[in-house]
Amino acid sequence: MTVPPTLESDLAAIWAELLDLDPASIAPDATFLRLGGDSVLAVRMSALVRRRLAVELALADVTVEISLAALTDLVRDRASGDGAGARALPVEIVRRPDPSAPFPLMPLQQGYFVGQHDGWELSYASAHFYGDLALSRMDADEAAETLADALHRLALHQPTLRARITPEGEQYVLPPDAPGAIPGPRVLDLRDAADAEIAAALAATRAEMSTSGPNPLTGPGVDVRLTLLPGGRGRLHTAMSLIAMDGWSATVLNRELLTLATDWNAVPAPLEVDFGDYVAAIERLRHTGAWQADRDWWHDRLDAFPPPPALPLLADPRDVAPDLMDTRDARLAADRWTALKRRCAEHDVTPSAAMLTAFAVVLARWAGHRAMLLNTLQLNRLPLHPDIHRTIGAFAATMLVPVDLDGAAAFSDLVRAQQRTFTEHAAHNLVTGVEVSRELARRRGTVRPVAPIVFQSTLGMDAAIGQRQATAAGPLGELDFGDFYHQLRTPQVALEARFWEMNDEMAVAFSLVGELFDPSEVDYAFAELVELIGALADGYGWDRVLPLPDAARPGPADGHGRDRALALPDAAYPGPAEGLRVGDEPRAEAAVAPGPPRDELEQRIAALWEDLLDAPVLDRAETFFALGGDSLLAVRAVARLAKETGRAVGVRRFLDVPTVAGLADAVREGTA
Amino acid sequence: MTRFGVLGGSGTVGRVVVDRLAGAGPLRVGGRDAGRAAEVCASHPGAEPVRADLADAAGLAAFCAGCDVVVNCAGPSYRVLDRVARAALAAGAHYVDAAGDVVALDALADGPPARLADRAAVFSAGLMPGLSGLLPRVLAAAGPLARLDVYVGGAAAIGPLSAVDALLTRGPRFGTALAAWRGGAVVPNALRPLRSVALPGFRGRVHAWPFLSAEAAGLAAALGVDELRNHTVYVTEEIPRALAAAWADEEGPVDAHVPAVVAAADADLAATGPYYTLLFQAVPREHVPGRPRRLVLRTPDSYALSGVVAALTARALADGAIPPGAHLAADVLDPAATLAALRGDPLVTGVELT
Amino acid sequence: MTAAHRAGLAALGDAPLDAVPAAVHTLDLAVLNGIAAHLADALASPGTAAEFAAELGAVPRHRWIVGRWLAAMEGEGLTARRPDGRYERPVRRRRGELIALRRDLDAARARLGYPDALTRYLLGSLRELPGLLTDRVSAQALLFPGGDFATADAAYRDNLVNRYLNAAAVEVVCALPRKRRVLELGAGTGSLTAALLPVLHGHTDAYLFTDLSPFFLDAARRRFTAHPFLRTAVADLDAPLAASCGAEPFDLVVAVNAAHNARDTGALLAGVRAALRPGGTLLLVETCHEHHQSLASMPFLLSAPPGGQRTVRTDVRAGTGRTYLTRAEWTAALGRAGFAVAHDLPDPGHPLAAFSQRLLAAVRTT
Repeated sequence: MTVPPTLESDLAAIWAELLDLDPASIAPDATFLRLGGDSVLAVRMSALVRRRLAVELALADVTVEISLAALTDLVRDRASGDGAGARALPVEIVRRPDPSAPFPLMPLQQGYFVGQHDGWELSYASAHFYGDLALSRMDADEAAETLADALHRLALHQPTLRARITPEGEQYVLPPDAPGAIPGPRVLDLRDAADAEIAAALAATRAEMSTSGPNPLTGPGVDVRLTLLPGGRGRLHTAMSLIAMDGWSATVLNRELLTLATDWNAVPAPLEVDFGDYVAAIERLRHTGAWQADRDWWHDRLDAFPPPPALPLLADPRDVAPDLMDTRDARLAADRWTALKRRCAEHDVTPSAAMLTAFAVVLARWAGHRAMLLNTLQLNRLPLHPDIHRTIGAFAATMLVPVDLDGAAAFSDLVRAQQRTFTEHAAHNLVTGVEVSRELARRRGTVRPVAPIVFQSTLGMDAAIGQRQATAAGPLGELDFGDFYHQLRTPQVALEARFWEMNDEMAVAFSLVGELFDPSEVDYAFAELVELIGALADGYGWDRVLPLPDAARPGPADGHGRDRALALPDAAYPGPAEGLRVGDEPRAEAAVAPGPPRDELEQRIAALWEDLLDAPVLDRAETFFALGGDSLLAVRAVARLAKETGRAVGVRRFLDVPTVAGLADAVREGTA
Repeated sequence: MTRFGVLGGSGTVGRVVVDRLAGAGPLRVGGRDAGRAAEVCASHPGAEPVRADLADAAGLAAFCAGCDVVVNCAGPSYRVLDRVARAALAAGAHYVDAAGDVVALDALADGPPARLADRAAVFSAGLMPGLSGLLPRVLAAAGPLARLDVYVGGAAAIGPLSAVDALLTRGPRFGTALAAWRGGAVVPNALRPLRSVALPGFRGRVHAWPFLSAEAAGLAAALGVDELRNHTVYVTEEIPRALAAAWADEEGPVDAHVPAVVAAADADLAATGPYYTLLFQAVPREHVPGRPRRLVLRTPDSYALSGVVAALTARALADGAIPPGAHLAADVLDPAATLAALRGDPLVTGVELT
Repeated sequence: MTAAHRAGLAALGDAPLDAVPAAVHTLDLAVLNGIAAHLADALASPGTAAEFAAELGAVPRHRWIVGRWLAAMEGEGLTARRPDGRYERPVRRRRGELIALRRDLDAARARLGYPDALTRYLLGSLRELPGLLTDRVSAQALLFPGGDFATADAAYRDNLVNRYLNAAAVEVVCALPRKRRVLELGAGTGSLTAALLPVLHGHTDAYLFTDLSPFFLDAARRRFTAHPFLRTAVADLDAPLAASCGAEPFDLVVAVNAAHNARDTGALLAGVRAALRPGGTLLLVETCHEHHQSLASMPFLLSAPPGGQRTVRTDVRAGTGRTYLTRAEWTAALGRAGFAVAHDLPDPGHPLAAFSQRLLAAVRTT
């Protein structure tokens, strides 16, 4: 969080303007009322805070009784906690003249879109997030109508709920009265069902919604269902397509949906801008010097980045066709979470930084080396408008974070160092990790994900938004966040650690492709992480120097780099020293002989690539990605090739042999 | 027997010319420093060292007298222009200049010497311009081309005089940056710089800056290609940046920017060691199986290779293979024969015709 | 049909007016039912107005509002008085009924020409009733969200009746022979001002725009820069006008939904008469009936300021707790104060009369 040191003087300036006073004469403990303000001026004050400091004050905050000091504290609390705040941005957001016009996909959306075309290893037919929640003391007779009404109003208020994706990889919003625009919930009434039937039905719903998510190419990007159970209980199921909505959108959606369900007369303040306006502004941003400076900053560092953690694998990711991700879950009770937050503050670090470091420590011991490249999922909502934080859309982006753990340092020092690195990288967030990863892959000549081990944290976000999560929602009854099931399917991720807050507790989860890892190793790693977090909450973990592997980078495949001689109890990671590891390059394909395109088909393919890539394509053995192609362009290349040659080549097949020669062979084979 | 006179014979380019012409006939080696000229001649029995300064007209005339072919390796070309050519022709000799370009040709055409009626003066008998305009014609031998891509460059030291030359080679007479040849004309702003790309024949990742030189435009017109893209290839972006900075400074003297350009070239050399590659790739109008579309030629020393080309040109003149008049080497040398000769030259470390 | 009435109707184009009375009634019932719904949820048992107020947690300055609500609800059959004098709790509404209520509210709003900001305002007020009653939420914050006038304009300007009245007022003012000096009292958001200033241009030396709150004066100064004859001043309706407005007589005094804020309308009218030259005109736009639709919002704006006293009326409203005068009461008061009513629009039988917003233009008699 970056807040100018003169926050109080900024606020004093606003008061001075409104009350026609000298700013210096405003004492910190003087109330707005005493200085001559009235209720109407208090409203104007709130508006100026929003406009000038990009901080949203709640209705109940705007009273004449507030003092300058109290207002300063309030604004500081509400200021955004993700580090994307205090930059002056070289573009402005404007309303598009036609809100229904198509607009391009953001980089991460493109990644998910291609993943849905089975374009990548570790991809799924749908990239989506699913969660279900226990309800009790419902008014079952009213619940269905309430939910449908709430979802209807939400879809009117948030255009992204009416969004669709075209086959060419663009997105647009349906007008509210278009057929199919407003999603409706599905209700399953099991109030009179027997226990066995209930268990089977819930399992079936969960299985279905976990593996087959809403697809904005064919319908709404959100799927909401309500199961009514006997005794006033129930379950609320929500699935959201990650192509259309990011993780923070899920929080906004749940909050707003429940607010609308609770109060028949709730009307959310209209959004002044929408996701399409944001994307258009980001497109303009790409042409600015500031964006190019950020791109150059990343490109200068890429060659020095470490590889991802070389975790041992049971299978090659290319051979795995996962259906669902495995999970491991834990909660940190409210009092310990409060304690952890306090400890973090005492050590001058954010909880997210501490969790990232803890995860890195566990990974280092598991992989056998201390320097690694992690992927992080970032909120990434650039503060182009105060409404952005409550807009549903696919804003999120990844950011690569190189980690280098000092084997001799205490944990608190590790966190501080990691926080500095993170902040430094986050300061160049105009360019997304998706784009940086593409360049890194291009330089390394690989089509594998360059950073399939992911960290995601929304800790601290709730405070920034300033609302407590509702625990009751009118006829939907009481929400039990202790009974919460969730599933995440994100492509190109082998293992992801997620941290979020729920009901005053801290939640931590691993989502992983189970087929890739030894489950006992995963269990051990997760237990280590939970133990470490506990030690941090209880205070004694901070000064420890945790045993870490000697090696900074992974060694050669014969295992020298993996230091087994750590003080790790009873062969914690007993897997073989040799064998597959994350970051290994795939077995070599039959080598393609280099040279100029050999025949008309190869020349045609080269010409098509040149057109798409706006770069010379001179060699039949050069890969699409080394030439600057990305996943979305790969999908387009395949589509155009099909149109021009009449032969369809699947995206995955293309990406297996992404060379001019390989593609020509695939076309000749007539492989579909 | 043909007597060859090599001016600037003790320089980087000149030494190679001397070496390649030794044994082909009597050899006169001229330079400002008599000692160094003598040192060069020491390795070649029968070679005659002569002190010769281009600024001294009488000395120049004396040097040229009795030569059949005068090869000039002394620069910088923006100062030499047509002076030595005129002296050579006046003495009844053919003339080869390892450098020089249209500017020198224009100077010669301004009151052309009468001896051009039966003697030839060939300019740009070096690597670039020269080989860069000649070798692509090998790919056009079997039929017309739809498109030709040219990538020439690498890492080489740039001396102060060459730096000045580089700084001065701007403007429509020399070429247009970021332009391409399309549909029979120069199209400005058609191409963008290629950063960090892998190119056949070049090491690792390089940077290719489109620059449609006068030579490339002439080649495109001569071959009748639909599209020609010409690039200068650098190992890092240091040299383009130094050149761009210099060219942006329109008021200042050129000399002020020489150190930056020299330092940039040294930085490139330090990164990879010296190497130079010429890459030509063509898309023929009609596909014929087995027809070569790519020519790559590699050398560790671009200056030395210029000397090889100058020597080959001198021999061609001696053999009467070049008609009288003023020419650019790329227009009058035989592409296939030159390529064959280069294949066998120790300074050429690789030739691929695929 | 007078010119002013014609001008008013012309401003409405071909908007259908026959549906107005029914739509006004629907809007009234929707809001009243919304209030009743809150009471139904929050109250445990029958009670008196005072008991309900206490149970709702109402702060002292807002307690009177609960009584107001109950009276209105009783009138519409949403509650009944028991033999012991206590009111019954209103019936709890099912969610489906509330959803229908909301849709009715919005549909009626649209038929009356209000923009959708009004729906947001009315629903927002209903939702915030708990906060409004307990003073955790300010009514001004709801009426001026973000410090802007969009909501206030929606309620007081951008609808059928205000368009009619503004156009009629402009016609009346155009026809005045002299309008060199103009005074507006309680000008607020300047909804009529904006329409008057262009037609006064060239005829007026001074337009004195006054209000009790500097907030509105500041906004007016920034907004009406095209009219250099506009000046602003703080003026209290209950204080002698000469102190804030000067001694020089005015040709025209305008008061749009402001005059009823005076403690004593009789005294106000007398003061206005004194400030007008003989033959000068008083232009009033007034609400002549308290509609249920305003009950979730307006009363909170009329309560005593925090730490202050609720205005005690000493005119015909004394002892009733009423805010508005009826048409008949205004006409009588104007007559008593030495005015002759020249325009009284709309005609009571006209559909637009259902809004209970009237234009009264009265001339100071000699």
